[in-house]
Amino acid sequence: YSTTVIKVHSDTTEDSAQQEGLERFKELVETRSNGEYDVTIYPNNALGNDVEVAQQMQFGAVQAAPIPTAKLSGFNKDLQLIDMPFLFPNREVAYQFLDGDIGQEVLSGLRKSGFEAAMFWESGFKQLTCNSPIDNPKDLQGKKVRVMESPLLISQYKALGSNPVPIAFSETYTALQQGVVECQENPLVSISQMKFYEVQKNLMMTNHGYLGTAFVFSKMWFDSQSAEHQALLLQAAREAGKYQRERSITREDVYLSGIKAAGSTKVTTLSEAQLDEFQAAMSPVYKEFGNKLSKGLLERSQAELKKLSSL
Amino acid sequence: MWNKISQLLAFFENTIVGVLIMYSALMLFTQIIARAVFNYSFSWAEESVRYAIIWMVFMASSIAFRQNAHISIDVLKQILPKSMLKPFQAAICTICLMTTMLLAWFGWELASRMMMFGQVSSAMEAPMYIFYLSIPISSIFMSIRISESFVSLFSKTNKDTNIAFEEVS
Amino acid sequence: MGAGFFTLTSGLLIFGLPIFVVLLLTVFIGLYSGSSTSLMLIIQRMFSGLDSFPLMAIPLFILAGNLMSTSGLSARILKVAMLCVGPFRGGLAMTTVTGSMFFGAISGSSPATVVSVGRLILPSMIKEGYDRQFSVGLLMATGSLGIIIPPSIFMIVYGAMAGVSIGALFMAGIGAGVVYGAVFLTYCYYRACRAGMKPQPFPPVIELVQAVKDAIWGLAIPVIILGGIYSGLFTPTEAAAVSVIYSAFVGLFIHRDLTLKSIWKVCIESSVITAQVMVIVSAAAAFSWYLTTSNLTGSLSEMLSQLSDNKLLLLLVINVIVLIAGMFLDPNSIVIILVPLIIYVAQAAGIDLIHLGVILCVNCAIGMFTPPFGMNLFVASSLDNVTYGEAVRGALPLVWLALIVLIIINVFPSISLWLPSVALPNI
Ligand code: NA
Ligand code: NA
Repeated sequence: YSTTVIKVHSDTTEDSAQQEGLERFKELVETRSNGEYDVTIYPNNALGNDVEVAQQMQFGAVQAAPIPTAKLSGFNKDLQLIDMPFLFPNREVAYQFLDGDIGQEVLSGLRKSGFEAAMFWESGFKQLTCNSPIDNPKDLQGKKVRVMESPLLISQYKALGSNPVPIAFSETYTALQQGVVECQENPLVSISQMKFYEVQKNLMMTNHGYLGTAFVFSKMWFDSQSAEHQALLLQAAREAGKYQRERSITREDVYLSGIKAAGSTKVTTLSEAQLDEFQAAMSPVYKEFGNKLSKGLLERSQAELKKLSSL
Repeated sequence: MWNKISQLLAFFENTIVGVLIMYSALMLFTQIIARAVFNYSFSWAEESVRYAIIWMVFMASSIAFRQNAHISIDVLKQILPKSMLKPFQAAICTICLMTTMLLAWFGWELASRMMMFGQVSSAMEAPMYIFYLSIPISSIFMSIRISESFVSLFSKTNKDTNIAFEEVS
Repeated sequence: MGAGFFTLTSGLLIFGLPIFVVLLLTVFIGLYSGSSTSLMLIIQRMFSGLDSFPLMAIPLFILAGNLMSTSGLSARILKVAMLCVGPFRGGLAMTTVTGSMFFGAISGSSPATVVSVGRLILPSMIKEGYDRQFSVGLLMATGSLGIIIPPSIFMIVYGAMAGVSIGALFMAGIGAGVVYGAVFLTYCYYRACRAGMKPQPFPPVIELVQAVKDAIWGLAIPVIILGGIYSGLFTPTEAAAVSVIYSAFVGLFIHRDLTLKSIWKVCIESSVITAQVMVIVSAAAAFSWYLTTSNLTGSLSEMLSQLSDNKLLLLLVINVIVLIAGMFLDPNSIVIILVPLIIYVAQAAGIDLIHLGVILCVNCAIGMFTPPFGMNLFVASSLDNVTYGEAVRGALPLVWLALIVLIIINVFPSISLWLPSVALPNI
């Protein structure tokens, strides 16, 4: 037999939890297939950015990748569910929900867009950074906030009365530094690696959104593999995903202490009551985007999350 | 007859690229003013400019074929004996034509796949295939322009049309 | 397989096919013969190669430059340059250098600088008895300042590829551009002294004041662009749109030498020039994907990574690679194809990515006038009946001078990094 090459895309540097997860995936797939698969990881967007690679996967030019749900929402609206503000109260609930029935339902919905999804990996909870301290939603009024080019995030900040400005991830540092925008939101991994803290005076630990990634295979390619190998691949992606989540949690502490040690950024932890205010102020998003999702998905999700939270 | 059609196509190409580049400059300027003066941002401004310029680039590539303006290393052309020039240029035309036709074919295949999967853009939420169609459609225009140059190589009468293989200033 | 692929590529290039066709065709052939990857990939990469906001500065800076040349803005600026250095020995040659520096500060591309300065000054240089080859060579060599001095299309493409602040790169280019200009000014003066040229009397100050007053709208452009970027009023990409609107406004309402009709014509011309550049960027994105995945460049990046503990040797190798690439390719394709290969090695070796950007920029600036392929060579050939051969013979002696500048910039990172470190202390 000849070896089959699996090209795996990654949007992060080699020094990341995602890379560690992908290396575990490589190891599992290569040993369990007795070398029938040869996994090559392409970090740093070497094959293109997330959306571009997702397109390449649709016709089988790239075989696998963890892709942020926000970037997949252009392919399937239901992925926007994960981006709703304050959807998950904490990581445990998030994992239970994403690995549960509804999470799996959202993932399998990606089949009709050309992806075979294995599991949700993660970048972590999003935090807010700003040049001025933000203690309640009113402090964000009139502020220019850099956001991803996503209608949901744009409307989330419009709901707060601020001015959301979509700016490319690569231009964000400069834009913050030169004051084109004053605030931005991202998980700690990005705030640390892109050095946003160097140009932002305040970091508010808001955990106001969850940046999940869907580990997907190219469906076109996946369908051409034997049933046995398909099971192997899915299993490897899930086991590697568990490891990736662990590494993500461990690394967050390192990132946060690094930011604190740099000394130029004040880190604020908001109280439950303060966070409730933010949650209330962002809630119009649920009304606006809830009915863009599949019918009943939001209601069922909220019921399920309520159940999981009370356990 | 063909000259009329060719001129009409040229008018169409010129109008598209002129309008798109003007739109881009004006839209970005408006965005700056809106942000600085009214503290407001159009969420679709950047995206619309990106796709406008992409359409512009591929359409203007067709104009560049018409004006023989695409960047190439044309040293060989300058040192070849006069008698070899025509077959040589015919070969170049043929290879260019093959390439643009491949672009048209696979461009169409990709765009129609996008139509099927229904991907939308992130800010305007417009169907992505509209923007990807820029490649196959412009490639058809390019193919037409290359064919014109090819024909003009072997016809003596058409010297006054400004199609390819005349020196461009 | 690697050797065959590169032979095919260079063979097709020298055959005289448009560069973007060569890049696409080799990927078509490579993918078709060597793998099961769908050829739709090429279309996807072509599209996404352009789908980047920073690249949108390219058409707009080209448009702005053309608007300034069509209106009298460029001529007025050159008049100021002429009055400043004209009276020295070799003044007209020095005016070419200074004029290119001024024009470099308002235009983002090198060919635009060569054309604008060349049209205005080449005839007078030849009339004054300057050697024809030297005049053309000087024009091409200093026209390269268009991509070194900000704004710079090259820096934008590099910044977008490498994820480095474009604002900081612009700042870094100022130091490199001044050194480049100073070396060439010195050379012009030395040459004139050796040829026994006499200095001219200085014109009355009032004349200079009048010329500056005439050119003030043009001279204000660098201030507006850089000031706007560093004060946070707009991003480097948006600055390109500002300079378009500004030059159209000045041409229409202040100098009144533009009409809506002439603006429309310039728009279409600029679109075509943009297409010449960006269609190659687009094809290079497909080419680079193919190189990355087919492991053709694996041995190159392996060799580079072995050098990562010797910074100077690594820099030397990078310079040589880019200089050779610069003989055949245009700056934007070079960045797109090579930056992914060298950037992580350079970073690991402790080379500052802004410094690296300036080094690559000067390398590519030299590539603009090294034969066989260089945009400045072609553009210069279109001026005043200069032949390609004359342009090459004029350029070659000045390549050595430019290489000296290159060495200085490699060895002294502070030339590039001092200004950004003062102005943007956080980078
Ligand atoms: Na410049
Ligand atoms: Na060259």
